[in-house]
Amino acid sequence: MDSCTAESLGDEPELQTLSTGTHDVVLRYQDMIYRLMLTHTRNRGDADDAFQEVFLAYHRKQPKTCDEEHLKAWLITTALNCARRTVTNSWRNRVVPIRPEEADQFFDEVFSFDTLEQDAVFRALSKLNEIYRSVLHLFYFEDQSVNEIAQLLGLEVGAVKMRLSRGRSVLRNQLQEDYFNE
Amino acid sequence: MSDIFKNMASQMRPSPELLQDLFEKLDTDDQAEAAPVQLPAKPKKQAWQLWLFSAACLLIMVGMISTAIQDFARFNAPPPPASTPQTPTQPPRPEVVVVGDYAELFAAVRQIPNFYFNNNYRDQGTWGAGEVLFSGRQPPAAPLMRPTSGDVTLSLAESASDKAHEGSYTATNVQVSGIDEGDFVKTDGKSIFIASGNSVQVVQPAGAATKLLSRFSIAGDKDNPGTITDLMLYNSTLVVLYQRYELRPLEDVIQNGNYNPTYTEYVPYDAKDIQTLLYDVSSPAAPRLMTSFEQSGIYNTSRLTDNLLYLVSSYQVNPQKIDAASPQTFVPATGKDGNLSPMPIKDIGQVPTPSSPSYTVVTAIDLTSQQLIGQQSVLGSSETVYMSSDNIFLASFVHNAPVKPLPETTIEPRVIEPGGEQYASDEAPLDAPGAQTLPSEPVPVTPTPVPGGETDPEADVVPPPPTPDVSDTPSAEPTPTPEPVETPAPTVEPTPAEPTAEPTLSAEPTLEPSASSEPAPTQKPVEPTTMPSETPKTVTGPATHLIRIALADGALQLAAQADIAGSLLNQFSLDEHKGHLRVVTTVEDQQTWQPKASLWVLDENLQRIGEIATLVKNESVQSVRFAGNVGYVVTYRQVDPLFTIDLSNPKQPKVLSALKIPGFSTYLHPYANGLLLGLGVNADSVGNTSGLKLSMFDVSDPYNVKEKHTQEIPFWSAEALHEHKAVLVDPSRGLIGFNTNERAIYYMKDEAGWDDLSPLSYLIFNYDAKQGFSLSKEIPRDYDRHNVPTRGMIIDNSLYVTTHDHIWSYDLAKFNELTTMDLKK
Repeated sequence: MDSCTAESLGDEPELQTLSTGTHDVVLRYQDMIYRLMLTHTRNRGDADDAFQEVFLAYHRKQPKTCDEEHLKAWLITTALNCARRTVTNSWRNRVVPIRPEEADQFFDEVFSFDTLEQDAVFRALSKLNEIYRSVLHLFYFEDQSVNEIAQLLGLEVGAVKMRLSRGRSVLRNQLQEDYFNE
Repeated sequence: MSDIFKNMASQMRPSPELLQDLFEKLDTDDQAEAAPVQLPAKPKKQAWQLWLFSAACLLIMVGMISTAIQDFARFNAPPPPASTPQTPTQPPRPEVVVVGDYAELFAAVRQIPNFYFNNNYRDQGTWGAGEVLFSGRQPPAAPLMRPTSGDVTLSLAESASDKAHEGSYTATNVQVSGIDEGDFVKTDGKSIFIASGNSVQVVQPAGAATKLLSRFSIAGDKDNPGTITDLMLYNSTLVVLYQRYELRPLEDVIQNGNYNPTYTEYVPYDAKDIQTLLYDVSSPAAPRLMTSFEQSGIYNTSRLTDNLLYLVSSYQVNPQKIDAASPQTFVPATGKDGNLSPMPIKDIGQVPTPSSPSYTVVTAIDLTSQQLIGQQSVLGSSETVYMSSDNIFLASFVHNAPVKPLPETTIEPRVIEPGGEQYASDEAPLDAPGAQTLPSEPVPVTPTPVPGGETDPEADVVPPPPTPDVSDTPSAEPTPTPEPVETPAPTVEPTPAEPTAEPTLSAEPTLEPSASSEPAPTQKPVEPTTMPSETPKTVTGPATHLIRIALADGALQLAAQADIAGSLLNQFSLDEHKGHLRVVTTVEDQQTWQPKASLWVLDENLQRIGEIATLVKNESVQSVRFAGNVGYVVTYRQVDPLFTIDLSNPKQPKVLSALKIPGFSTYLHPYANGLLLGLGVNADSVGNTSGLKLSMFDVSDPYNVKEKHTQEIPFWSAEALHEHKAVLVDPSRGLIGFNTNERAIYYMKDEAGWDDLSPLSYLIFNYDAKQGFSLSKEIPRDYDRHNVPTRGMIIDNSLYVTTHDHIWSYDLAKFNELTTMDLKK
């Protein structure tokens, strides 16, 4: 506990006032985790599975975290791992035999947004390599700073910046490509 | 751009039904640990880790059968399998659990964590440990692992699938020579069989005269559809592995409370069983169905050795439909020609703590006599399957299992600067010529003007000196004299008082760390033990549950079970050799949450007899390949060390070398003549990936591994990175082929003038021992889908590239296209 207090108090003198009971944690972080799952899994079913898995893991492990930021970091890291595992495991179980003409209605069980543009962005984002997707997601959807992302993913800050910049570039190209193909 | 993301974020919400379901699960879940895990705060400054990392990693050596190693090792031969001479007090407990009768089995299924009863049943993988429920009845004596088992030739001259290259065609690229693996394409040099949906196309390869010989489909209907998962070929018998589904009854969907006409989670088909169809293809123009076998569940994988076909599936029961009086509701079934019957109790075992109501089912079919000759099922699902010549190993990932605490000491391989250039590479070396390690200080990162105005002055500062918290640095540690101490207690059982000084048999500091190679003068000498010496308590954490089923010429006998810490990468993480199972896992360090790579050597009861508990810290395993007495492991965080490990003494695995190169390999392939081929991701010294690359490692001199040649590949991903069957390697012709996805776009290039090249290509490389790699041909493919499974094969003098729907042929000289055929027509 000492190392925990020393480290955290050194930077942020924020004391833990929020409840860490699972129920409350779910309510606080449901959106963040669900967003992560949507962009890091391939379909709604996987996203739902992985979403529940994160909170169940939290419930079982009961990690004692120093502060809210710490808790958030734990949840994000666990979420990324759960998503990765769910994706690896799920493809075997979700192979569905469909005829080519039926393919469109079942393809990708995507989450759909209000506007076509948003759909396009989401689709393009989903096609990115995971390393870019994670960084872009945390940066844009979760408003994390480059520093925070670096800590979360265990990377150099320079690496995060490179991935952001490169990811944006690939995303832009992907969007243009999609635009011309439609 | 940010407004659109904000808007999207506000829409990305879980549905009320999903939340409700989660709360129900949490309320009924009583798996919370008694002792909550205290997590230390993550270190805030990580910039110094790169520096430390460079200090830690080392180039040492490779040892295969060199006499130097044999002088070192005290024991050349593995211990006799039937006894454990060093620990007479406690006999090993194999933890094999056999069920007494159907009633017991029913009770076991019933007791599995009850949240499954509230949810739509589907195989969700493992969630956590349940209650211990085994009956304790000991199984009949199962064959032990032979001391000569898995005796793959130790010389790299023979690659894994070299045997398949006999004759004039290349076969499926497999893990173990002589053991075929199912794939959607099979050939015997005379015909090519391609599975597509529920039909098989038979193509006659004849260069420019290639043509479609015949085609047949397997009947199914809308309510009971099916799809072919893999093919297998044995002489003139074509085995078609056909996965059958059934439509879930609507009343089930509604009853579970998840039915919402406007919110469909997924198509409600459930996998029913696998049908194994045997076709006589002695006349490939007219294939003839001979017989079929059936087995409950979802197809996992298949293997073929000689005339024996082994089939692995996962069968999940519906906990709401089980009925103690009807075994067919909770027991997997097997049969022939449609006559399915529940497996007899003698063929069913269980893991000590099944976490989901699903079985792994293994059957053995003799293709000559066309009989089902053996079967074994285990209550407890498994994802990874590895088969050696004698055993099938099933592995499943378990979130929380009590694992013996790992010793905290980390004897790291030392940095050695041999004073000459470390590798000859086609491209410029990382930094200074001749240096194979990173510079002593990290490359200063110049702030790139990131649109959006994100600057971070902190990142450009030279990192502060590291705290002594991390023991990645070399230090003067006493060399533990290798002792043949065995760990008698099974790893599953929580052992409260664990001695701290568990002898870690790991890297031998065979060379003294030269002072000049120490990176930074500010580094203080570090104690090997990072944590204060306290008795490590049992910790629970992610683990892998292993099951060994002895093949016994098809009889299939459940032999041993155990848990080991960490998770497996894939089937290549396991290898049996001379009566021992070598395993590499990525373990989540309980103190820092960081991943670390570990190597384990297990005996026939899957108990640890040798290990390198921490191969490297803060890295995940990216690829593994075992070749006889040597193991190669690639890990990655930002730079990739290729570890070469001497396994000639199973109790004392030794890290012999750690070659650091940019990027990391995800697939390793023993090529020929002391060469190891790696396919993986390219990156610079800071860890920014920039496409793919091929590497040829010179592993002939165990003590001096080099990256001899490399080839940059300007694509972001390839099926071959994670699917070994997608790689075509023909050392006799120096040919390497695989398909790629997504041409890489370098951010530095001028985007305005970028022309849109085709997203997918099939690449053919040539490798010459002197010249290195060269691109022979890039065949662009114009698909609107992202990842198209593709296989390449050489038959006589032509190259054939095929997907599910299309096949092309090329001449081997210039790779001009000879034929192109749409298989759907």
